[in-house]
Amino acid sequence: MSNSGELITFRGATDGLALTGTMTLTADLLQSGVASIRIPKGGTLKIWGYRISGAKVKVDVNFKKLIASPDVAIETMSFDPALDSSMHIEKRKPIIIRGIGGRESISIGWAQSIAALSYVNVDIEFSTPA
Amino acid sequence: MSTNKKQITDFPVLRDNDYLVTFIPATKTSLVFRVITRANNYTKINYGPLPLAIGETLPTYDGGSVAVTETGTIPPRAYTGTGKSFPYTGTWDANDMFYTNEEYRDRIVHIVGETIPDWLRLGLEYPKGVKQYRYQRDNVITGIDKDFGFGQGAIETVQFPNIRQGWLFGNDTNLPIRTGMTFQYEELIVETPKDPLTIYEILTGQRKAHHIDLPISVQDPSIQIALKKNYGYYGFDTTLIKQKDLAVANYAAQIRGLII
Repeated sequence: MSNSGELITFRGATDGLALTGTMTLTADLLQSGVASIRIPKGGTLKIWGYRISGAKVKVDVNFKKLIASPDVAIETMSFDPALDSSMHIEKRKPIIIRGIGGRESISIGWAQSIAALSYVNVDIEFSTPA
Repeated sequence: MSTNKKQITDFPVLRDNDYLVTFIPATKTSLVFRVITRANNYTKINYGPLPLAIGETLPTYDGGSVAVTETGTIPPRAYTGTGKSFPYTGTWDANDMFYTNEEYRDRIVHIVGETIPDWLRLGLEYPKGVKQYRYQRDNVITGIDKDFGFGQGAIETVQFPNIRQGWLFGNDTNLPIRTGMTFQYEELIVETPKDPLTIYEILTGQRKAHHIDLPISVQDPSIQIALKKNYGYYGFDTTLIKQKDLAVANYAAQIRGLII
Protein backbone atom coordinates (compact mmCIF):
# COMPACT_ATOMS: atom_id res chain seq x y z
CA MET A 1 0.00 0.00 0.00
CA SER A 2 1.48 3.26 -1.10
CA ASN A 3 1.63 6.50 0.84
CA SER A 4 2.19 8.61 -2.22
CA GLY A 5 -0.51 10.43 -4.09
CA GLU A 6 -2.09 9.41 -7.33
CA LEU A 7 0.03 10.41 -10.32
CA ILE A 8 -1.93 10.93 -13.52
CA THR A 9 -0.69 12.04 -16.90
CA PHE A 10 -3.15 14.35 -18.63
CA ARG A 11 -2.94 15.01 -22.34
CA GLY A 12 -4.16 18.07 -24.14
CA ALA A 13 -3.85 19.55 -27.61
CA THR A 14 -4.51 22.74 -29.48
CA ASP A 15 -7.37 22.51 -31.95
CA GLY A 16 -5.32 23.60 -34.96
CA LEU A 17 -7.87 26.32 -35.77
CA ALA A 18 -7.81 28.97 -33.04
CA LEU A 19 -4.84 31.09 -32.01
CA THR A 20 -5.78 30.84 -28.34
CA GLY A 21 -7.88 28.51 -26.27
CA THR A 22 -8.15 26.10 -23.37
CA MET A 23 -7.15 22.51 -23.92
CA THR A 24 -9.49 19.59 -23.37
CA LEU A 25 -7.60 17.23 -21.09
CA THR A 26 -7.87 13.47 -21.24
CA ALA A 27 -6.29 10.73 -19.13
CA ASP A 28 -6.57 6.99 -18.62
CA LEU A 29 -8.69 7.54 -15.48
CA LEU A 30 -11.13 9.87 -17.21
CA GLN A 31 -14.24 8.71 -19.00
CA SER A 32 -14.19 11.86 -21.14
CA GLY A 33 -12.19 15.02 -21.56
CA VAL A 34 -12.40 18.02 -19.25
CA ALA A 35 -11.55 21.69 -19.66
CA SER A 36 -10.29 22.08 -16.10
CA ILE A 37 -9.22 19.98 -13.13
CA ARG A 38 -10.88 20.76 -9.84
CA ILE A 39 -8.87 19.90 -6.73
CA PRO A 40 -10.50 17.72 -4.07
CA LYS A 41 -11.31 19.74 -0.95
CA GLY A 42 -8.43 19.46 1.46
CA GLY A 43 -6.25 17.86 -1.16
CA THR A 44 -3.18 19.06 -2.98
CA LEU A 45 -2.36 19.02 -6.63
CA LYS A 46 1.29 18.87 -7.70
CA ILE A 47 2.51 19.43 -11.21
CA TRP A 48 5.67 17.41 -11.76
CA GLY A 49 6.38 17.66 -15.43
CA TYR A 50 5.40 18.52 -19.00
CA ARG A 51 6.11 17.24 -22.46
CA ILE A 52 5.26 19.54 -25.32
CA SER A 53 5.49 18.69 -29.00
CA GLY A 54 4.01 19.67 -32.35
CA ALA A 55 3.81 23.25 -33.57
CA LYS A 56 5.21 26.39 -31.97
CA VAL A 57 3.11 27.28 -28.95
CA LYS A 58 3.00 29.17 -25.69
CA VAL A 59 1.38 27.13 -22.92
CA ASP A 60 -0.09 28.63 -19.76
CA VAL A 61 -1.07 26.74 -16.64
CA ASN A 62 -4.03 28.72 -15.32
CA PHE A 63 -5.42 28.72 -11.81
CA LYS A 64 -8.89 29.65 -10.56
CA LYS A 65 -9.72 30.19 -6.91
CA LEU A 66 -13.45 29.90 -7.46
CA ILE A 67 -15.57 28.58 -10.28
CA ALA A 68 -16.30 32.11 -11.52
CA SER A 69 -12.87 33.58 -10.78
CA PRO A 70 -10.68 34.82 -13.62
CA ASP A 71 -7.82 32.65 -14.81
CA VAL A 72 -4.45 33.49 -13.33
CA ALA A 73 -1.42 32.10 -15.13
CA ILE A 74 0.88 30.36 -12.67
CA GLU A 75 3.37 28.98 -15.17
CA THR A 76 4.14 29.73 -18.80
CA MET A 77 6.22 27.68 -21.22
CA SER A 78 7.16 28.44 -24.79
CA PHE A 79 7.96 25.66 -27.23
CA ASP A 80 9.53 26.13 -30.63
CA PRO A 81 10.12 23.04 -32.81
CA ALA A 82 12.82 24.95 -34.65
CA LEU A 83 14.93 24.63 -31.52
CA ASP A 84 14.06 21.07 -30.49
CA SER A 85 11.73 18.31 -31.64
CA SER A 86 10.00 18.22 -28.27
CA MET A 87 10.27 19.88 -24.91
CA HIS A 88 10.58 17.86 -21.69
CA ILE A 89 10.37 19.48 -18.28
CA GLU A 90 10.86 17.38 -15.14
CA LYS A 91 10.58 19.31 -11.91
CA ARG A 92 12.61 18.63 -8.80
CA LYS A 93 10.16 20.82 -6.93
CA PRO A 94 6.60 20.65 -8.20
CA ILE A 95 4.14 23.47 -8.51
CA ILE A 96 1.79 22.95 -5.57
CA ILE A 97 -1.83 24.03 -5.63
CA ARG A 98 -4.05 23.50 -2.63
CA GLY A 99 -7.72 22.62 -2.65
CA ILE A 100 -8.64 24.66 0.39
CA GLY A 101 -12.26 25.33 -0.43
CA GLY A 102 -12.79 22.56 -2.93
CA ARG A 103 -13.47 25.04 -5.75
CA GLU A 104 -9.91 25.61 -6.92
CA SER A 105 -9.07 24.38 -10.37
CA ILE A 106 -6.42 24.53 -13.04
CA SER A 107 -6.59 24.50 -16.80
CA ILE A 108 -4.10 24.52 -19.64
CA GLY A 109 -4.33 27.38 -22.09
CA TRP A 110 -2.48 27.94 -25.34
CA ALA A 111 -1.48 30.82 -27.57
CA GLN A 112 0.00 30.53 -31.06
CA SER A 113 1.03 33.03 -33.74
CA ILE A 114 -0.06 30.53 -36.43
CA ALA A 115 -2.80 28.07 -35.55
CA ALA A 116 -1.50 24.51 -35.73
CA LEU A 117 -1.55 21.31 -33.73
CA SER A 118 0.53 21.18 -30.56
CA TYR A 119 0.40 18.57 -27.85
CA VAL A 120 0.97 18.79 -24.10
CA ASN A 121 1.32 16.02 -21.54
CA VAL A 122 1.15 17.11 -17.91
CA ASP A 123 2.11 14.88 -14.97
CA ILE A 124 -0.12 15.73 -12.03
CA GLU A 125 -0.13 14.18 -8.58
CA PHE A 126 -3.23 14.34 -6.38
CA SER A 127 -2.64 14.05 -2.68
CA THR A 128 -5.44 13.56 -0.21
CA PRO A 129 -5.39 15.18 3.22
CA ALA A 130 -3.51 13.38 5.99
CA MET B 1 -11.39 1.93 12.04
CA SER B 2 -8.82 3.72 10.03
CA THR B 3 -10.37 5.72 7.27
CA ASN B 4 -7.47 7.31 5.50
CA LYS B 5 -4.89 5.85 3.21
CA LYS B 6 -2.09 7.66 4.97
CA GLN B 7 -3.13 6.12 8.28
CA ILE B 8 -3.24 2.60 6.87
CA THR B 9 0.37 2.54 5.76
CA ASP B 10 0.55 -1.27 5.59
CA PHE B 11 -2.06 -3.95 5.68
CA PRO B 12 -2.11 -4.99 9.35
CA VAL B 13 -1.57 -8.72 8.85
CA LEU B 14 -2.76 -10.91 11.70
CA ARG B 15 -0.89 -14.15 12.36
CA ASP B 16 -1.79 -17.32 14.20
CA ASN B 17 -2.52 -16.68 17.89
CA ASP B 18 -2.80 -12.94 17.41
CA TYR B 19 -5.75 -11.27 19.08
CA LEU B 20 -8.24 -9.08 17.27
CA VAL B 21 -10.51 -6.67 19.13
CA THR B 22 -13.44 -5.09 17.32
CA PHE B 23 -14.95 -2.25 19.29
CA ILE B 24 -18.51 -1.06 18.79
CA PRO B 25 -18.74 2.55 19.99
CA ALA B 26 -22.55 2.56 20.11
CA THR B 27 -22.71 -0.16 22.77
CA LYS B 28 -19.22 0.31 24.23
CA THR B 29 -18.64 -3.38 23.74
CA SER B 30 -15.79 -5.27 22.15
CA LEU B 31 -15.70 -8.63 20.48
CA VAL B 32 -12.43 -10.40 21.11
CA PHE B 33 -11.04 -13.08 18.83
CA ARG B 34 -7.97 -15.26 18.79
CA VAL B 35 -6.72 -16.09 15.32
CA ILE B 36 -6.48 -19.86 15.02
CA THR B 37 -5.15 -19.61 11.49
CA ARG B 38 -5.64 -17.83 8.21
CA ALA B 39 -7.44 -19.40 5.29
CA ASN B 40 -5.20 -17.79 2.70
CA ASN B 41 -1.82 -16.23 2.12
CA TYR B 42 -2.50 -14.38 -1.11
CA THR B 43 -4.58 -11.56 0.09
CA LYS B 44 -5.15 -9.04 -2.63
CA ILE B 45 -8.23 -8.74 -4.78
CA ASN B 46 -8.01 -6.43 -7.76
CA TYR B 47 -11.76 -6.17 -7.87
CA GLY B 48 -12.03 -3.86 -10.87
CA PRO B 49 -14.45 -0.98 -11.34
CA LEU B 50 -16.76 0.09 -8.54
CA PRO B 51 -20.24 -1.45 -8.77
CA LEU B 52 -21.85 1.50 -10.55
CA ALA B 53 -24.19 0.50 -13.36
CA ILE B 54 -25.01 2.38 -16.54
CA GLY B 55 -28.18 4.40 -16.07
CA GLU B 56 -27.94 4.40 -12.29
CA THR B 57 -28.73 7.83 -10.87
CA LEU B 58 -26.46 9.34 -8.27
CA PRO B 59 -26.95 12.50 -6.20
CA THR B 60 -24.43 15.30 -6.63
CA TYR B 61 -22.70 17.71 -4.24
CA ASP B 62 -24.24 20.60 -6.15
CA GLY B 63 -27.82 19.34 -5.73
CA GLY B 64 -29.80 17.33 -8.23
CA SER B 65 -28.64 14.06 -9.67
CA VAL B 66 -26.68 12.63 -12.55
CA ALA B 67 -26.75 9.33 -14.39
CA VAL B 68 -23.84 6.92 -14.66
CA THR B 69 -23.01 6.67 -18.36
CA GLU B 70 -20.33 3.99 -18.25
CA THR B 71 -20.07 1.00 -15.91
CA GLY B 72 -17.79 1.74 -12.99
CA THR B 73 -17.51 5.43 -13.77
CA ILE B 74 -18.44 7.98 -11.14
CA PRO B 75 -19.68 11.21 -12.72
CA PRO B 76 -18.30 14.62 -11.73
CA ARG B 77 -19.40 15.79 -8.28
CA ALA B 78 -21.44 12.65 -7.67
CA TYR B 79 -21.68 10.29 -4.73
CA THR B 80 -23.52 7.12 -3.85
CA GLY B 81 -26.59 7.90 -1.79
CA THR B 82 -26.93 4.30 -0.66
CA GLY B 83 -24.32 1.73 0.23
CA LYS B 84 -22.97 -0.62 -2.40
CA SER B 85 -22.06 -4.29 -2.23
CA PHE B 86 -19.43 -5.99 -4.34
CA PRO B 87 -20.91 -8.83 -6.40
CA TYR B 88 -18.77 -11.86 -7.17
CA THR B 89 -19.97 -15.04 -8.82
CA GLY B 90 -19.57 -18.18 -6.73
CA THR B 91 -19.44 -16.54 -3.33
CA TRP B 92 -22.02 -17.46 -0.67
CA ASP B 93 -24.04 -14.44 -1.75
CA ALA B 94 -23.17 -13.61 -5.36
CA ASN B 95 -24.43 -10.04 -4.82
CA ASP B 96 -22.07 -9.41 -1.90
CA MET B 97 -18.76 -11.19 -1.98
CA PHE B 98 -18.06 -10.64 1.73
CA TYR B 99 -21.42 -11.66 3.15
CA THR B 100 -22.08 -15.05 4.74
CA ASN B 101 -24.43 -16.45 7.36
CA GLU B 102 -23.86 -17.95 10.80
CA GLU B 103 -22.66 -21.23 9.31
CA TYR B 104 -19.45 -19.28 8.70
CA ARG B 105 -19.20 -18.09 12.29
CA ASP B 106 -15.73 -19.59 12.68
CA ARG B 107 -14.34 -17.11 10.18
CA ILE B 108 -14.32 -13.38 9.79
CA VAL B 109 -12.81 -11.34 7.02
CA HIS B 110 -10.42 -8.55 7.90
CA ILE B 111 -10.49 -6.11 4.99
CA VAL B 112 -8.71 -3.00 3.82
CA GLY B 113 -10.53 -1.58 0.81
CA GLU B 114 -8.71 0.93 -1.39
CA THR B 115 -10.18 3.05 -4.14
CA ILE B 116 -8.61 3.99 -7.46
CA PRO B 117 -8.01 6.89 -7.60
CA ASP B 118 -7.16 7.34 -3.95
CA TRP B 119 -8.80 10.73 -3.53
CA LEU B 120 -12.32 9.32 -3.80
CA ARG B 121 -14.33 9.71 -0.64
CA LEU B 122 -15.01 6.40 1.03
CA GLY B 123 -17.35 5.38 3.82
CA LEU B 124 -19.25 2.44 5.22
CA GLU B 125 -22.82 1.76 6.22
CA TYR B 126 -22.72 -0.74 9.05
CA PRO B 127 -25.15 -2.42 8.61
CA LYS B 128 -26.02 -1.56 5.03
CA GLY B 129 -28.64 1.16 4.88
CA VAL B 130 -27.71 2.77 8.19
CA LYS B 131 -25.71 5.99 8.11
CA GLN B 132 -23.33 5.79 11.03
CA TYR B 133 -21.10 8.84 11.00
CA ARG B 134 -21.88 11.39 13.68
CA TYR B 135 -20.30 14.41 15.34
CA GLN B 136 -21.19 15.60 18.83
CA ARG B 137 -23.67 12.80 19.45
CA ASP B 138 -26.43 13.34 16.91
CA ASN B 139 -25.90 17.08 16.37
CA VAL B 140 -24.23 16.62 13.02
CA ILE B 141 -24.60 13.69 10.69
CA THR B 142 -21.40 13.45 8.70
CA GLY B 143 -20.24 11.23 5.88
CA ILE B 144 -19.13 11.20 2.27
CA ASP B 145 -21.94 13.57 1.28
CA LYS B 146 -21.00 16.09 3.97
CA ASP B 147 -18.01 18.31 4.68
CA PHE B 148 -16.31 15.78 6.92
CA GLY B 149 -16.67 12.35 8.44
CA PHE B 150 -15.35 10.21 5.63
CA GLY B 151 -12.19 8.48 4.61
CA GLN B 152 -10.30 9.01 1.41
CA GLY B 153 -8.57 6.21 -0.38
CA ALA B 154 -8.76 3.39 2.15
CA ILE B 155 -10.90 1.89 4.89
CA GLU B 156 -10.16 -0.94 7.27
CA THR B 157 -13.09 -3.02 8.42
CA VAL B 158 -14.18 -6.45 9.57
CA GLN B 159 -16.88 -8.53 7.95
CA PHE B 160 -18.95 -10.64 10.34
CA PRO B 161 -21.49 -13.23 9.22
CA ASN B 162 -25.09 -11.99 9.02
CA ILE B 163 -24.11 -8.32 8.79
CA ARG B 164 -24.14 -6.66 5.44
CA GLN B 165 -21.91 -3.65 4.94
CA GLY B 166 -22.68 -0.89 2.46
CA TRP B 167 -19.75 0.86 0.77
CA LEU B 168 -20.15 4.55 -0.03
CA PHE B 169 -18.15 6.53 -2.58
CA GLY B 170 -17.91 10.17 -3.51
CA ASN B 171 -16.13 12.21 -6.18
CA ASP B 172 -15.94 15.89 -5.27
CA THR B 173 -13.88 16.83 -8.32
CA ASN B 174 -15.25 17.85 -11.70
CA LEU B 175 -13.68 14.78 -13.32
CA PRO B 176 -15.69 11.83 -14.70
CA ILE B 177 -13.61 9.12 -13.07
CA ARG B 178 -13.08 5.56 -14.24
CA THR B 179 -12.87 3.98 -10.84
CA GLY B 180 -11.32 0.85 -9.43
CA MET B 181 -11.26 -1.00 -6.15
CA THR B 182 -8.72 -3.27 -4.55
CA PHE B 183 -9.09 -5.23 -1.36
CA GLN B 184 -6.45 -6.57 0.89
CA TYR B 185 -8.05 -9.14 3.10
CA GLU B 186 -7.50 -12.02 5.46
CA GLU B 187 -10.05 -14.75 5.95
CA LEU B 188 -9.36 -15.49 9.58
CA ILE B 189 -10.36 -18.71 11.32
CA VAL B 190 -11.10 -17.50 14.82
CA GLU B 191 -12.35 -18.37 18.25
CA THR B 192 -13.17 -16.34 21.31
CA PRO B 193 -10.62 -16.71 24.12
CA LYS B 194 -12.29 -18.65 26.94
CA ASP B 195 -10.30 -17.21 29.84
CA PRO B 196 -12.02 -14.09 31.27
CA LEU B 197 -8.74 -12.78 32.66
CA THR B 198 -7.20 -12.98 29.19
CA ILE B 199 -10.16 -11.01 27.85
CA TYR B 200 -9.64 -8.43 30.57
CA GLU B 201 -5.93 -8.14 29.82
CA ILE B 202 -6.60 -7.74 26.10
CA LEU B 203 -9.21 -5.05 26.63
CA THR B 204 -6.98 -3.15 29.03
CA GLY B 205 -4.00 -3.26 26.71
CA GLN B 206 -1.91 -5.57 28.87
CA ARG B 207 -1.87 -8.11 26.07
CA LYS B 208 -1.03 -7.07 22.54
CA ALA B 209 -3.95 -7.09 20.12
CA HIS B 210 -4.99 -5.44 16.90
CA HIS B 211 -7.85 -3.05 17.62
CA ILE B 212 -10.42 -1.95 15.08
CA ASP B 213 -13.17 0.51 15.90
CA LEU B 214 -16.17 -0.41 13.81
CA PRO B 215 -18.12 2.50 12.32
CA ILE B 216 -21.15 1.83 14.48
CA SER B 217 -22.09 4.98 16.33
CA VAL B 218 -25.80 4.31 16.12
CA GLN B 219 -27.09 1.18 17.76
CA ASP B 220 -28.98 -0.84 15.19
CA PRO B 221 -30.83 -3.88 16.57
CA SER B 222 -29.80 -6.00 13.60
CA ILE B 223 -26.17 -5.82 14.69
CA GLN B 224 -26.85 -7.25 18.13
CA ILE B 225 -29.18 -9.90 16.74
CA ALA B 226 -26.55 -10.97 14.22
CA LEU B 227 -23.71 -11.06 16.70
CA LYS B 228 -25.79 -13.01 19.21
CA LYS B 229 -26.69 -15.48 16.49
CA ASN B 230 -23.08 -15.77 15.37
CA TYR B 231 -21.25 -15.92 18.66
CA GLY B 232 -23.75 -16.13 21.50
CA TYR B 233 -22.94 -12.64 22.73
CA TYR B 234 -22.56 -9.15 21.32
CA GLY B 235 -19.40 -8.04 22.95
CA PHE B 236 -17.65 -7.65 26.28
CA ASP B 237 -18.65 -4.55 28.19
CA THR B 238 -15.66 -2.21 28.09
CA THR B 239 -17.14 0.17 30.64
CA LEU B 240 -16.32 -2.37 33.36
CA ILE B 241 -12.57 -2.39 32.92
CA LYS B 242 -11.95 -0.01 35.82
CA GLN B 243 -13.41 -2.66 38.16
CA LYS B 244 -11.32 -5.72 37.47
CA ASP B 245 -13.22 -8.23 39.63
CA LEU B 246 -16.58 -7.15 38.29
CA ALA B 247 -15.31 -7.17 34.72
CA VAL B 248 -13.76 -10.62 34.96
CA ALA B 249 -16.93 -12.02 36.55
CA ASN B 250 -19.06 -10.42 33.86
CA TYR B 251 -16.82 -11.74 31.09
CA ALA B 252 -16.83 -15.22 32.64
CA ALA B 253 -20.63 -15.24 32.56
CA GLN B 254 -20.62 -14.19 28.91
CA ILE B 255 -18.04 -16.81 28.01
CA ARG B 256 -20.37 -19.54 29.32
CA GLY B 257 -22.87 -18.54 26.62
CA LEU B 258 -20.42 -18.49 23.74
CA ILE B 259 -21.06 -20.44 20.57
CA ILE B 260 -17.43 -20.26 19.39
